[in-house]
Amino acid sequence: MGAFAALVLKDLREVLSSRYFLASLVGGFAVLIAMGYAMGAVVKTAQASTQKFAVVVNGTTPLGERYAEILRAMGGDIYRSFSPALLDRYGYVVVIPGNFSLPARLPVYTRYRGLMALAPPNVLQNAAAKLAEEVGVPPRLVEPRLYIYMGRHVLTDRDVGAVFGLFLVSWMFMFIVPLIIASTAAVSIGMEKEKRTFELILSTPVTPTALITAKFLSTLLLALIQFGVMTAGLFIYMANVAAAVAASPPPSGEAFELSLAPSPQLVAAVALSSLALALALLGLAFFAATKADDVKTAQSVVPLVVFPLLIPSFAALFGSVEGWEAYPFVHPLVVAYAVMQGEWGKAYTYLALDWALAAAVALVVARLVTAEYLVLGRVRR
Amino acid sequence: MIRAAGLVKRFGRVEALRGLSLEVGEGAVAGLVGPNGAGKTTTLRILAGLIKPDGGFAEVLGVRTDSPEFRKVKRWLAYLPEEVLPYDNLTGRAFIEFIHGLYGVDNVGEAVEISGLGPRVDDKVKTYSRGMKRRLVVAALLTVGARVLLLDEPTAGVDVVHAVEIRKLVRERARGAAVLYSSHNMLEVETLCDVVYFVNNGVVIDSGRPGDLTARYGAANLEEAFVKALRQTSAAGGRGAPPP
Repeated sequence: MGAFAALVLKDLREVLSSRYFLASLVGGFAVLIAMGYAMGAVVKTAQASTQKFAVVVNGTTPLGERYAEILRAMGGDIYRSFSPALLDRYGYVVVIPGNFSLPARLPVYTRYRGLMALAPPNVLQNAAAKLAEEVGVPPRLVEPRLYIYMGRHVLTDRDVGAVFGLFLVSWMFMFIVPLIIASTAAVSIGMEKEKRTFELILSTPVTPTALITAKFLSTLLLALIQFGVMTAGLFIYMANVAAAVAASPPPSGEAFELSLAPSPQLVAAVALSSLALALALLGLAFFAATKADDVKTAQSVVPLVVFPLLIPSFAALFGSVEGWEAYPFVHPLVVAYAVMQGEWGKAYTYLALDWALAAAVALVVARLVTAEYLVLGRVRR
Repeated sequence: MIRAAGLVKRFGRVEALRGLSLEVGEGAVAGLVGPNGAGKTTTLRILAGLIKPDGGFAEVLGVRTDSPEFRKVKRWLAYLPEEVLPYDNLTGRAFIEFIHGLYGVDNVGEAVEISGLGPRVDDKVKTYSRGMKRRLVVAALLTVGARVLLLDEPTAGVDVVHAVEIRKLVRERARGAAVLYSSHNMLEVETLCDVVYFVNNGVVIDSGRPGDLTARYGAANLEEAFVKALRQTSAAGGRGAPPP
């Protein structure tokens, strides 16, 4: 037991006394807290608008009138007619049909605010339950049918799966590519540090700039190979799943229709945005990795530095990108969103910003990373 | 061909070099001898152009190592860092090709021959012993046509047989180059070097031919001469000696 405790204690003392490990740990913790605070503020603002809902009622059954009254009591504002402009002020607009009865199919209009916003609000079912209780029938649920405004398009609930697929592609680029790149950079740089080969290479006619550029390129190529293999695997996986789904007939007997399809332009725009951001992150990963002395340390620390920066992509995927558009690491999603709506001016602007960031990072790296920095791990003042 | 003049280098509060000076001429093998932390590796790094001195200057082939022109000189310089090892997943031959590619030379056949690896040169480096790995790096560097060789502890951590082979390689293959050879091993310095620099606390405390140094201190060998030089320097307040 004594020897076992000594072994465990040694590992803890060795790792926890590493300034580099502690800095990355505390840094990651601080970044997460800051991100959480900022995201919380955004979500709070978004919720304030999405929880407000309007009820459109104009000539319906007495049951429909009562249902509208209950919804009004639960916070809904009553209108006589529907207009898309209402969606600027309300998270949802519920239209009470002229032939309302229980159960009822209920058109619900909303604007796209992230995948988690695609579920109909609970208040509709709560109001239906109250109505059923009042009229003395067993609790019956209404069946909301979502119509989701996305720019010029109106998505039906059938399109939601397709949109999810599109955004999943964006998210794969936005989240997985940078992580793969960071991990590959950690191996690539950590290996040189472990073998003490930076000194050997830099004493030859090779310049630090050439070495860094070569490292960037080789890391990028290795990451793209990994990403390509993973993407191919994912497509095969999805194809297998889709084949299984197609083999079983849809319950409603309706054919699946797709009003929005992923275009090559969309994938190219997302890929360009992701590539620029991946290059920027590669610069950060490069700095983090050069502080490690071996591959294992670099592999454990570099993702720790990069991961907190990518966290908002989760929120942006399932929530809303509104309010997050200034944050670079959700830009692939923002660009996808813009391209889907045909807002090419916006897409080009964000692509330009992403590449400007990549260029800025490349300039900083080229300026700071000298032979002395690579050999001694410190910037000469 | 190699010249250091009053080199000063500080790392924060630590003064690694405090005015170190030395010279190595064409075809000479100079030994750099001193305890850990004496400043040997820092000197070699400055001479290789990897780090810049805070004071003094270094020249290789008549060009200052902190000048932009030094980039061209690097073609004629080979530096073997302490503890450098080849990449595990490359074969020995691929590693030689890599090093020669950095210098723009193609002399793989000779490097393979003097590496002594035989058919194992096509095995992955991770299957080699430490001695084989070190010999591979030395063989790769000795065949790039360098006119200046900076070797930092080439035989450290290597078994006796491989150490003897590495020393033999350096002696036979240096071919008129100026060699600065850093080592803890007094025996190998005594047998290999034409001139020896005793270094302590960032300065040269004495220098000369191995035989002259042992005679100067009335010592039986270089090791004893070094210890006596250290004691005399301590007694004199740590002052260094000018280059010979």
